[in-house]
Amino acid sequence: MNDLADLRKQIAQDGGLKIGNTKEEVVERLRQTRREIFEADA
Amino acid sequence: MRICIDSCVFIHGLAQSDPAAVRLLDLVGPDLVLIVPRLVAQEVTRNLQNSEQIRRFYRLFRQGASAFIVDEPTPRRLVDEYTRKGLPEKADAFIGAFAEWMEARYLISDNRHFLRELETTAYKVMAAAEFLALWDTDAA
Repeated sequence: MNDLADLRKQIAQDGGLKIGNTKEEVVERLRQTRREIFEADA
Repeated sequence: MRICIDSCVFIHGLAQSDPAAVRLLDLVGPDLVLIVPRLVAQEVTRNLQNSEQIRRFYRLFRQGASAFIVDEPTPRRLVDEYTRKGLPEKADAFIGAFAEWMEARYLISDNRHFLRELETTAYKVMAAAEFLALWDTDAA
C-alpha cells in the first residue's frame, strides 16, 4: 500500500476523522453507516 | 494469506488512532492480501472528510496493489447462514458471509458482535492486536 502514507498525511492535515473518541464509538458509528448503506441498497 | 478487515479497523489504521490497526495496514502486501466487500469501502469513504481523501483511499486498491474491493454479491444463502451463526443484523451477517465466501483466514474487527457472538469455523475473528501477536510468532 504505497499510497497509504499519503492518505494518512492528508487525513492528519485535515484535522483527523471526527467519528468518535473511543473504539466503541467508532464501531457504533460505522455500524450505523453500515445499516444506512445496506438498507438503501436492499 | 488472505484477510478481511472491518471498516472500524480500516478507519483506525487510516486515522492512526490505534497502533495495531496502523501496523496491520502497513503489513498488507504479497504475504498479507486484503480483501473487502464494496460495503466496507463505502462505510470508510462515507466517514472520510473530503473528496481528496476519498480519491487517495481508492488509490490503495489500484492495479498491482495487494488490496482488493469485491463488487460481486455475496451469496444470499451464505448471508442467511450467518444470521443463524450469531449475526442477526443482515448487514453484519453480510460481512461475516463475505469473509467465508472469499476464503479469508481472518476477519479483523473491533465489533463485539463479531468478536463475541459469531460462531464459525470458516475463519478466525479477532482484533488487530491479537492478529499481530500471532503474526509476530509466525503462528498466523
